[in-house]
Amino acid sequence: MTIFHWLLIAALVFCFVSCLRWFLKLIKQPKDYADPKGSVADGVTFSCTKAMLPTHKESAYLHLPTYIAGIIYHIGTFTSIILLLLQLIFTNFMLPYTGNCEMGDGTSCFIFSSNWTFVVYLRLFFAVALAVSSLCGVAILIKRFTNKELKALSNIDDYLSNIFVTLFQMFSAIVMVAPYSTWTQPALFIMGTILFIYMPLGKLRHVIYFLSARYQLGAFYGKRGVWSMKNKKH
Amino acid sequence: MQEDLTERKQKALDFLNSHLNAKLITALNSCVHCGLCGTSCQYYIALKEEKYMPAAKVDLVAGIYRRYHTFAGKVFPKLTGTHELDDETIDKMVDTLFGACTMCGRCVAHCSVGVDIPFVVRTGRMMLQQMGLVPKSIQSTVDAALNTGNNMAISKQDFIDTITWLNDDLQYEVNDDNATIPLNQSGVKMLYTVNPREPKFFPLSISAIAKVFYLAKESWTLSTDYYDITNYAYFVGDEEGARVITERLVNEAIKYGADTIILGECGHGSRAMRWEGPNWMKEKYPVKTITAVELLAQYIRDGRIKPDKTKITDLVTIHDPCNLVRNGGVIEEQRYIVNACCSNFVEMNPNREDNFCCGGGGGQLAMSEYNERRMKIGKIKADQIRATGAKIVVTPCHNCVDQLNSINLEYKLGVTIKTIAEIVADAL
Ligand code: SF4
Ligand code: SF4
Repeated sequence: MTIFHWLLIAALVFCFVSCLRWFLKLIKQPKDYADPKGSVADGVTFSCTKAMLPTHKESAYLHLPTYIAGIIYHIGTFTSIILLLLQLIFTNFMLPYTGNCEMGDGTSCFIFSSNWTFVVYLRLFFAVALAVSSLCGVAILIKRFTNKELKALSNIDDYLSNIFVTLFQMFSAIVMVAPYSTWTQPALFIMGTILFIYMPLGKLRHVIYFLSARYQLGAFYGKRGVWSMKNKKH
Repeated sequence: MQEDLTERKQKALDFLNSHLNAKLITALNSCVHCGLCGTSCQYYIALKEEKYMPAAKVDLVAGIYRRYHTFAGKVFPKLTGTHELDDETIDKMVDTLFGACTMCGRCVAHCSVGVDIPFVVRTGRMMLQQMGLVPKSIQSTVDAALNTGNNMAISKQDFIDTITWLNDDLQYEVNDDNATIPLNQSGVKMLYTVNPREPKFFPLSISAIAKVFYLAKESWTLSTDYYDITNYAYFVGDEEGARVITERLVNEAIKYGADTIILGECGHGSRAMRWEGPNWMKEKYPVKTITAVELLAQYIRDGRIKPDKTKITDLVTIHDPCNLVRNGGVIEEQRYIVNACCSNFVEMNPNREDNFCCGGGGGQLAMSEYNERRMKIGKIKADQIRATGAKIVVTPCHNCVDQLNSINLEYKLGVTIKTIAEIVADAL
């Protein structure tokens, strides 16, 4: 374990504890005394499935390029986080299994194949995918800088969050291309550390609040009988 | 004076602090500033200014929250774009939260995240109410309701005179000298409520519902003390006032032995009474509530009234009131009724829970300060109506009727606006 591992672990713990604190505040729902017309569970299911499709949201179908870029960007973020955690746990992650990796000698492997070609292709796939998602992040950033309405709405945190997440994805992609380089993984770990320390401070917190917002939305329309999975008109 | 304002600001901040439950915390933290909600809001569509974007309205309140309730906001206020609760912020809040939002909720389902935007707007209005900064015109409407029992300050005698005159009219209409509009009758099944605009300006809509009740042999009464279904205290963020108005109607139903309150054709009144009222009273009602639309649909389904759809041959469309439809779940009933009463029906586009507000909701009709804006955003509805080619627009809300009448004149639509009860009565 290097100092970069420890810094990243500390940042992750800080981020997790902060998220947990907010999450706990969201559990107790205010009591609603009104008699239901529909079902909360049905509304929440609808809210988290069909209602998120581009066919149902103007924010998606009226702004399709931004919506698609946003979806790819978010998939890229989650993928990068998963890859980062795997690299933190398994020292030789994404290197092919050569038989030298023995448990107990301070190294560990995320063993999925000893086939060099397969591993190289897989790394290449992740590298290209993350490069594309990073580009989506750059596109969103450019839109924020140039679109009049969006600029008026944005604060420093909006820009910083976008920049940090995009850089994080870029470093993730670079590690996939050059896993043997001495600087790529430490750079990714530093970027991850910055990201996880920053996350609780600004809008990146929406990772927690998004879920709660979808629940609240579904509960509201579900209870009032507006949203239902059974409604054919939806 | 300065000290007084400082105290009032503190009161508003304390109010925000005391209302931070899971729902509000979520709404104040979840906007990601993607800016994709502008195209769902009539104000932004019609007026094309950034301050009218739903997210900009949310940000006014969320920025205050971030300033006083988050670590980053307290230590690095610029970083997350926080707002001090100062005069500049307050002016913006009054102008956009009161003057540029009908609290229609159209933006909510279309938001990328699902932020409850009108809920945040209402929270901002509540903070302004704590500071005594509610626009005068709508505050006087609330005061009238609290002081006289109805928002138009109609005297009891005037109300009785109107109903007596309508009673004669009903007897003539149904050709029965025993037909009556019951006032303060005990032992009835239902208490009917009206929008005070009806006795004041649209008495024929009371005649219409009375005719339907007569033919359906309903057991009902009007109360001469408390009959007002509207609740503008809800829109100004005065929870205590809203509770008082709600409780009066519940008590009135109990007084006359009615087990059900019929929520007259008023979108926000129905919403306030049906969905918000129990929470203001912090208990389940001892009586049931049903909207007039649901009741009339039930009459037709049960065969208690038999409309003749050949009587109305003009092309008819429906305007869906936001508070009744998107925020109240009464969606298909009005379609069922109109299809049973009219031979030619066409949907507006978009419709149902996706419909655009008429522009008069959220108390806009009661805020003369913003009349010009109200008429400008009404163009969206005018265009929607014109595109249908309809001659009659039916809407189960008297506020919407008023706004639709205004845009009918302003945009020269040449349509007739009717309530659901009126269209049913016409078909009987
Ligand atoms: S509630 Fe209606 S008027 Fe208010 S911001 Fe949303 S869409 Fe616009
Ligand atoms: S669409 Fe929703 S999340 Fe995006 S800016 Fe508007 S309110 Fe915020």
